[in-house]
Amino acid sequence: MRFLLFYLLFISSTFASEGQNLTGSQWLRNVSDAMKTLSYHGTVVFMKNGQIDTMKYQHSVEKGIETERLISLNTPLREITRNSGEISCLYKETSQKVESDHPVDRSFIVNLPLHAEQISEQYLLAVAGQEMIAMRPAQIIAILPKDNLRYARKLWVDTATSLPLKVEVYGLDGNVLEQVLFTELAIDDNGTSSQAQQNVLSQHLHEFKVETFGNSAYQLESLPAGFEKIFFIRTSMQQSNKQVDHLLISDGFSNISIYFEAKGNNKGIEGQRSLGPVNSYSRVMGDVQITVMGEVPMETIQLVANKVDVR
Amino acid sequence: MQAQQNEKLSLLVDDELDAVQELSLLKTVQQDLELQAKLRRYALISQAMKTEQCSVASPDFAAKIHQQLKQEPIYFLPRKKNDKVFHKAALAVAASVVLAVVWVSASKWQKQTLPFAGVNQIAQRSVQADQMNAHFKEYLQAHDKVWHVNNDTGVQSYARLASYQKK
Repeated sequence: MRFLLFYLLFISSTFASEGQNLTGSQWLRNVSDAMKTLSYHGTVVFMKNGQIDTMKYQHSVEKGIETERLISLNTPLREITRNSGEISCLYKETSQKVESDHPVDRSFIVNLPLHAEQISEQYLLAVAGQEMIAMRPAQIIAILPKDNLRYARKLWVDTATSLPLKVEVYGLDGNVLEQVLFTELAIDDNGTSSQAQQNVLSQHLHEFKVETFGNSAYQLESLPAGFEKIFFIRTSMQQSNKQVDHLLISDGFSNISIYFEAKGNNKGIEGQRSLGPVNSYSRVMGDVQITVMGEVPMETIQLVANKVDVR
Repeated sequence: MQAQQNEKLSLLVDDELDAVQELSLLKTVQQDLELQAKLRRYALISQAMKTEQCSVASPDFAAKIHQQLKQEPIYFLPRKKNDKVFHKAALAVAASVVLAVVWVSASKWQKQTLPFAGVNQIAQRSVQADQMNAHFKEYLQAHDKVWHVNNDTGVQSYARLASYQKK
């Protein structure tokens, strides 16, 4: 990890003079702006948890509202649309549509901090050379954590448009945990997109109600360095039809969700689970089932889980 | 004569003598300490060859037990039998035996009539695992909507029952 840090710092200093003399923070700000204003489409490959999904991607902005559409090229055929915080997933083979709401806008491609300068305490942003991605010159931005509570990332940014072309997330051992990669990208002149209407069976999931965590039955003694509360909602799970309280904390790049759910007559789940970059830890406190999950190392998940308490 | 006796001892150890010959040989052995020692050696060798294990007792082990049994006191005092207590105890033992037999039979019958009980348990566990995975998937999607991109295979159980054939 440290070797990677020094190596990227070396590359950063070597190539800084060749680039556009932008710092890592400036690059991130440009990426964030480009993603909110430009309309573009292409083909994206998602590699996560040993699984590859290739999808046609379309991003448009109309009246300041972002829309993303992903259409899978392989079975199961599905179309996933994000309209600001509303997500719908249409399974074409069964004509079933699943909809859910999310209180925070987050692109399918990359999770970026709202304010790039606020992450300097936890991350080192290094401008590290250029490569060609999808036949386009890309600037590499290394996002290196200063502790072991979060993962390192690399972002390949299109030098012409500042759009993200590739993202990699690395585990503490340096192995790639997740990759998102454009294999082709084209910029659209306008943001209009055709929305195919189909007769589908619609099912709405995850309707939420924003709550105040301070007034809830739970408390979090302290947060890991750099993390802050993003939202606390009361939502329902379709599978169990149970109400779940969901607290999301974030350091800008890494999100951690904490779920509180009545255990009921079930035995409850205790233990760890990992899926690609996501680690989770579940434990039972009295009648409450607590599950903490996020794209951070297991130590961070357990740190948070042990700080959670029931009032 | 010596060789013949050795052969007979060997046959005795291997249980290959008829009853008359056995009785005759044992009577001879009883009178001859050297033959007794030889019989013990043969028995030891036979045991070692058959089981690859052997335990060596002292030569007078059997004699000591015999002596101990001889020294046991013999009581000739008449014992008073409590018939009522004896009958009750007998009845209780009989009832216990009947109950035990009924219980064992019932459990065997249950196993026979539900040959797929084990499969049902596995299937039930599989269903529980599927439910847990579905729950986990919902948590994932609520955590980060990018998990909508992944198709279902990523969060299915690592092992699932595909088929079952009774032997």
